[in-house]
Amino acid sequence: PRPLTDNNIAMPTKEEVYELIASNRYSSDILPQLEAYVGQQVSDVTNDLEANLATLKLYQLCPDLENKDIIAKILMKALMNLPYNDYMLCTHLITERIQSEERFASIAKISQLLETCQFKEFWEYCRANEAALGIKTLPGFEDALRKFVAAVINSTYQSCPTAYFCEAMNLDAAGCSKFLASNGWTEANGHIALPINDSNTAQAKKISETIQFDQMSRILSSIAS
Amino acid sequence: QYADYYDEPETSGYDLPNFRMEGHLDLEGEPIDAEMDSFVVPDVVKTFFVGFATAVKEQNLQDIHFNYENNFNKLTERYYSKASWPPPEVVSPIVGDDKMFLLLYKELYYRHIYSKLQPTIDHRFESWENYCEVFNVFLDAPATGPLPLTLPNQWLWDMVDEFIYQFQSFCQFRAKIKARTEEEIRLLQEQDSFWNVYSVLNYLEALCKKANINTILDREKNGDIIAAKAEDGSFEFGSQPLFKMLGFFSLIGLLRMHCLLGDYYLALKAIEHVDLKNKSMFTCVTACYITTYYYLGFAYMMMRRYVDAIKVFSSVLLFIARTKQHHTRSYQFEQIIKKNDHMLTLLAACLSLCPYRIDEDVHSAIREKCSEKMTRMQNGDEVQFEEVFTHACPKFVVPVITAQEYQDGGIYGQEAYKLQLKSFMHEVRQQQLLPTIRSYLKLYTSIDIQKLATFLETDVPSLRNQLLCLKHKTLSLVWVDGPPLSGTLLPCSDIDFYLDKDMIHITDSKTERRFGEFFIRHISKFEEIISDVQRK
Repeated sequence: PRPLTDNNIAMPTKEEVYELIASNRYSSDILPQLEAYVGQQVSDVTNDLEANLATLKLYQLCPDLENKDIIAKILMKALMNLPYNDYMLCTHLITERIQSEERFASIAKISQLLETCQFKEFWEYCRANEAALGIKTLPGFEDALRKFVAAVINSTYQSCPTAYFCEAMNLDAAGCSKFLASNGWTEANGHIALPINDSNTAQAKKISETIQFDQMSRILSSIAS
Repeated sequence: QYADYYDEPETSGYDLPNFRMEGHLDLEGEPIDAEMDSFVVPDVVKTFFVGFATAVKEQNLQDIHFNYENNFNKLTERYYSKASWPPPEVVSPIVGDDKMFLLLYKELYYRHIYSKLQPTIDHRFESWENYCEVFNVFLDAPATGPLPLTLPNQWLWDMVDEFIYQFQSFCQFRAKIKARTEEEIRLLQEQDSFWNVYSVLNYLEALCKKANINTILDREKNGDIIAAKAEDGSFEFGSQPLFKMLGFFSLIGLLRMHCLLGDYYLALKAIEHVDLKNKSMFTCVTACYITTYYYLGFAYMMMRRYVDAIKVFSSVLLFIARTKQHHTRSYQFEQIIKKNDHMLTLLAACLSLCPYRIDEDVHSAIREKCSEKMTRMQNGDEVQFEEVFTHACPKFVVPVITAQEYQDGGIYGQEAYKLQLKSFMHEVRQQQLLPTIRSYLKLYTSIDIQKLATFLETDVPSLRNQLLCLKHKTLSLVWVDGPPLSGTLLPCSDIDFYLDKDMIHITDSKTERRFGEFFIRHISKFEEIISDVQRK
């Protein structure tokens, strides 16, 4: 039997949610299921942008039914999907009236810090505003953001100072060693060697010209004659 | 600063029933006497009505098109440039009470009022009801066979286009609560089914569904022919050009509606079955092509997919440049030029945020028309970015007014626009320091991080953050294949760099000089010239 949600309806599966969206996208009747699905994403540590946008759209068209807790959850989940810009897409559907509230201004602040890669400041802000942001109620939040930070650093550095890395990742020495071990990264002389990928090697890209066949076909007849 | 696309008057003409007599001048330019109960219709106009109605009844597509595109506009210029067309009650006896024709005529009648006069709240409600009736004729067509009606594609497009335009106009009208009379406010709250956002969206979706347009588009992509009979034996409406094109235009209508509501993801999803490489569906109505690409490019831009936006805008700007001369005498010319102008400035904005190599012709158009603006944006001038956005963005809508807002009685029309502007400017500001860093990096193949920090008058920790930011902001979704919404995360920077301990290593990507395109274009041009000369 499927678990019941807060409003005592059976937790919908992803397929059911998508069926509802496909057939009844503009009906506020489907909100209970969509809201329950948000809760599911929080506990399962999954993320479903399309379904969440559908939820936000219903709130946009039916302001009476807007649920600020759900909106806050959706936004925090969006941040957990960085580097994708889900957060930005969500804010396009949330009126200024809501966004100007303190709770949402806080979330906007951490988005700003993340987008400008001020990671040390980001973790500090999270620590200072943990309760307001509800971080403890979001399983996987820290891991997801660490994954993002590590990826950005990996795309920029071939070797970076360990102290800097730990600060950016909000890891102490022990946590750092654990992270390096589980990712197969090595450290030497206070610097971490990062795996080479397309981004952190400055390869001279030679953009050569390709001529499409249909462009050539236009003139082939005249060349041939 | 934010110029309204449709200037609403501060006072409404609500106190008059039906059409607004004050706006009406008779044929001598004299104001019409409100007591007159006969409306003088010139003979040539009577003949026009009879001919037009006959063409519609006989399904004579060419005649319908000629009447719609030419005669209607010529007569408007001659008699009705400042007055409304004869009201439907007056026209009805002239065309033998032809109900279908009158529905279609009313569409033109209200469209004309919106464009040349000021619609009152009654006009708006009546026009809404008329659209419902017209769309219901299509949607209620029985599944036994084709609907005995044919209309030119231009009209079908204009109908959907105007429908959405009137919705935008209504939202703007309703959002200016301060300027509304008490009676209007009461009506707006009571009659909330008129121009209701759900209804508008549902009509568009219904027209798409009736034509089964997404399936039809998929099948056509595979090269299938659309049979007139569907699998269950009923009539496949998508096989009738009227429904197919109406369905297609409604799809583009959804793309537009979702952009107006700020839902760019859903906007792109709406057109996921449209094959953008196959231009044949679009180019039958130029305005459709341009509208599609404008909203597509704008959606990409708002989703921070600048490379995709740049490609889309470049492509359509080239198209307009090449086909401009064919449209100088069409009534849509002004609109085309306006959209061209908008897209050029948006392209300049995108290029300032994400340098990318574009076609030489488009590049010279930018240099010609907005080089100053572009320079300012490349230097991070926020005001210039705001101006460009405000000038070129779509007219976003506030879809719903809450009871509280009715009570507070303010002006809410700009809320939607301000929200989208805010998001765009966030991106601009977050990237503000990047162009300077980029330009410094281009000067070196390697530079110590401390040295660069000194040049930029900042400290090393901040610079580390900014370098990460440069990497992060230049990683975007880029469309490769498939539906417009799909994409792969790719680095899109024009410079490549990495840090090894404290040393920054840089490589500038080299682009080969592109000879092929240049020669091909000139060969084609020469051919045209030669064939022209040979003809003479």
